[in-house]
Amino acid sequence: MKVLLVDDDTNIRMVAVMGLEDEMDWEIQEASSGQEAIQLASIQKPDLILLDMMMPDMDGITTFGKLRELDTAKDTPIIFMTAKVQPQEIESYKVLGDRGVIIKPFDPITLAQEIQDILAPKHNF
Amino acid sequence: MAAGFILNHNNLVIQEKTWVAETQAIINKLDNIAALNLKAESSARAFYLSRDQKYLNARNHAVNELKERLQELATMLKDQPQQEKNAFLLKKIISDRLALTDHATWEAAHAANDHTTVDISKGAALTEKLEDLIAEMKDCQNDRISLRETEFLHNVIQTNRIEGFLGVLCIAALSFSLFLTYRYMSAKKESDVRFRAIFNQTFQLIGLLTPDGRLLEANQTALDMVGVDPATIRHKFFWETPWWQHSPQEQEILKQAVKDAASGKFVRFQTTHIGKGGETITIDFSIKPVLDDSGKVLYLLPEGRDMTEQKRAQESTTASEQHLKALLTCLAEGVYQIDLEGNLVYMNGAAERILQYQENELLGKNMHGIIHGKSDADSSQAPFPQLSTGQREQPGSDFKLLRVVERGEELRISEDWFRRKDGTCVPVEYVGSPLLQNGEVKGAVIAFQDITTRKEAEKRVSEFYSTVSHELRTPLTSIRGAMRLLEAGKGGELTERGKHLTTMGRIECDRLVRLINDMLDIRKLEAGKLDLRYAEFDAVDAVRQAISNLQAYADEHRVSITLKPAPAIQLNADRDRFTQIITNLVSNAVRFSPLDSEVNVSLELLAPEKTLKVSIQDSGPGIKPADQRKLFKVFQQLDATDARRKGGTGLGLAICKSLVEQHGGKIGLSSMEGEGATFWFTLPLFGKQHPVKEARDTAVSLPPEPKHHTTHYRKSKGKHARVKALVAENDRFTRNLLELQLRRMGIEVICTESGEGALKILNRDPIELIILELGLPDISGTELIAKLKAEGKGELPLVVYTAQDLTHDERLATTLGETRHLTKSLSVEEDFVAAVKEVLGERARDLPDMAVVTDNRLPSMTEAEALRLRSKD
Repeated sequence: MKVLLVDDDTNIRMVAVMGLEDEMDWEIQEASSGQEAIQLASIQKPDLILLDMMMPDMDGITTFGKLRELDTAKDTPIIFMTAKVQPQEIESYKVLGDRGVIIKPFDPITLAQEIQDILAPKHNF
Repeated sequence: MAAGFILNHNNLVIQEKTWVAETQAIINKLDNIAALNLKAESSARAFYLSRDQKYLNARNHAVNELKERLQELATMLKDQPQQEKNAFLLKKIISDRLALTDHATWEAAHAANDHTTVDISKGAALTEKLEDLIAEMKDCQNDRISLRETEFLHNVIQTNRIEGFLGVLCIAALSFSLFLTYRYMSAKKESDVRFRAIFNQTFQLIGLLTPDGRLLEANQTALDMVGVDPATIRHKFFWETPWWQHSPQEQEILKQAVKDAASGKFVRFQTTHIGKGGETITIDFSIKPVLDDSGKVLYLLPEGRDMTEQKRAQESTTASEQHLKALLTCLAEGVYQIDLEGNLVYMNGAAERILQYQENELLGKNMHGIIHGKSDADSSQAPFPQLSTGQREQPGSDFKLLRVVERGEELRISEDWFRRKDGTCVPVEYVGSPLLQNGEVKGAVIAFQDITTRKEAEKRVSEFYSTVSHELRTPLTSIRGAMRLLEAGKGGELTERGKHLTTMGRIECDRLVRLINDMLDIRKLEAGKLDLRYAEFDAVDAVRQAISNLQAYADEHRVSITLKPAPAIQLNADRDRFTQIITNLVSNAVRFSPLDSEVNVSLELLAPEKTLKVSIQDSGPGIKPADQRKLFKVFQQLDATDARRKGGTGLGLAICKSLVEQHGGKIGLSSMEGEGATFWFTLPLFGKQHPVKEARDTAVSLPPEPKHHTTHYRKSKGKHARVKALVAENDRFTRNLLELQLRRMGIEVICTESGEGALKILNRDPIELIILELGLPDISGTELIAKLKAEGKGELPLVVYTAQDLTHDERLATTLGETRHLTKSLSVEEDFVAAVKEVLGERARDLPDMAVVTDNRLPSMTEAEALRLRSKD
């Protein structure tokens, strides 16, 4: 599974990558901005996108919209990652049609499980 | 002879008297007829003018009487062929005349318009004829009387008899005749007066014009108005009469009106005249054309009603209305008025401005569909189209304002949206009040305020918190993540000590996350912005889940949590918040429970009140009754260090209280010191959302006094009176190190990087220990010590910490009370601790047990550092 991890914070990306390294069949690609994510996603079709909501220049929602315009990412499951926890913010993400939200700080050790739970049908929104 | 004379005389007199009486009766009858005819006519005229049925009745009565009199007259004139003919003619004229008025009367009674066709020429001709005839007939009778009188007189003179009686008789006859003449005159006059009265009073101003506009007649009111003699204005053009002379403009209007009326139109207009006293009189003026059968205009009937009073009243109403409107226009609040159906009646300037509509665009239109109705672009303010904020009502849910008119209730909505003309929505606060007239609801007045600014301010604050939360969470994600990875061995095998440290770091990260969450909650609770999302769920199940989530936490504390078995209880509440309350209370209980003890959770149904009661029982230290009240306040732990020591945030109970109260429940505890505590709360099973206002009232507010945790120093509290130390050291690294070591000893620390700062703090705070670097940049150590001695602080325990090697004299110069001198490079941590304990002497034994007090705070900033940081912003 090709996972595109989009977050402007290098440390957070590192923590996530290290947390997911045990998943042998997961191939993690990192993007440090929305722009980069779009570029990477258009070159190689990702199977899952982990998308940070708060990024400078291009925020998560804009990136989400642009990714959905790509042929290579229009059906890709996208999971938002956010440090904003106000219920209405989280709900506003849900309506965008993403697959779920991972709240920061996430636990790198259980991150893979969390992702799998979200991708399982019972967690469809 | 005498008897014969008397008899003869009597017969003669009786004969004469009878004749005179009969003749007089005829004259009388004629007078009567003339009077009745006048009465009939004037009543008819009055009826045309007033349309008052009573005049019509009077006329009919007069007509009937008239018919009787004519019949009687005919009988009386049987033996006078010429007069009988005249009587017949009279009867015909009168019946013609009546027929004419009958027609006009019928028309007047039935015509819907003001158009009364009175065939005046014919009527006038007939009347003239009639009057002439009556006069002729009366003349005839009078002639007969005169002749008879002359004959009689002659006869008397000739016969020279009974002369005394004759004179009397003659005089009587003459006077009788005169009397009748007077009677006739007075009857005519009476009828005239009556007509005049009507003419003068039925309408305020009446006149009669020729079709070309010459004045024939004007009533007294009209004449009085200008104060002229009717003779001087008769046959003048109406517009040249004094009524119109004040304004050439009005004269032109009148000229045109007369022209129009002469062409058969009914003209009506409003005009102003100048009264005798110079006052302006407003007149509702009309000119009726009076037509003959062929439709030719014979006369014009000008009428005027004095409208001054009405106009004045209307003007004052208009003025006060305008005054009110001007006032409403000045208001910053939008105001509009709707009728019973919800249609717009009025709208002020602010409403026009806010809603972008002009009043006349919406007048009579239903406001529901326009400003309250649903729109596709729901809001221009919300960042996301379907953003839901619970209590807020989107435009169009239902037209609440109609309830105002239906029930006559006032309605206050603190937050709603009105749609503007351009389709965007504006956030508003509004009050709708029923508009009552004589106790009946006539509509509603709505005053509203654009709360964009307020919303923006709220949004900014909310965004600030959101951003702060985000900014704190981002580094925490890396830190906590790194700790977790280390814990899981991703950084290589750790020693036991290493594992212990990373776990501690991770736990503290968790606490920070909780603190951030709690702070967001508290802010919302304080702002009354925490919206509950009600749903029905099984409370027992929710409690079981919350407990299982706390299992790891309880294991860490070696505390077991047991849930007393209970059947399912359906509860309507905010499940997440309910779980939060349980989690807070249970984790509190776990935190304060001794090792290997038990926390018992039980649910019970208080049936009569339809209320759920949840109790959490621990066997911790318990809480003194005096302290229990304070528990639920923000940052009001019994001991400031207590909650932190146990890993709490100090906000949990305050949040629980707010959440429970917002659900309409109660929270409390029962506890004895040393015997554990039972926290309980109740929630109504079928909870109803309480108004925001109530939530505000019960919202927890921060106590005004400064909090202990926010300052560098704290007052001695509890049994361990804490020593307060001052660290004066300009090297940051050393300062932090010293501070940490002192803290570990349970000593309160205040730091400064300058001698000036040290002096200031020493003057301000009750410092019991000084740690001093001799080489401060501003004041040398020797100088500082000298100053302190001079200020009477010569007895303070002192630890001198310096990089220099000191001479004996220098040591003496830098000594206060109990003093130790340490050399930086030579001293180790243990030396410092020992030195501190030595200088403190007795006080050192009062220092808290190291095992109990773990001060996890970051090294504090000096005041100067804090200042620099602040000035950066």
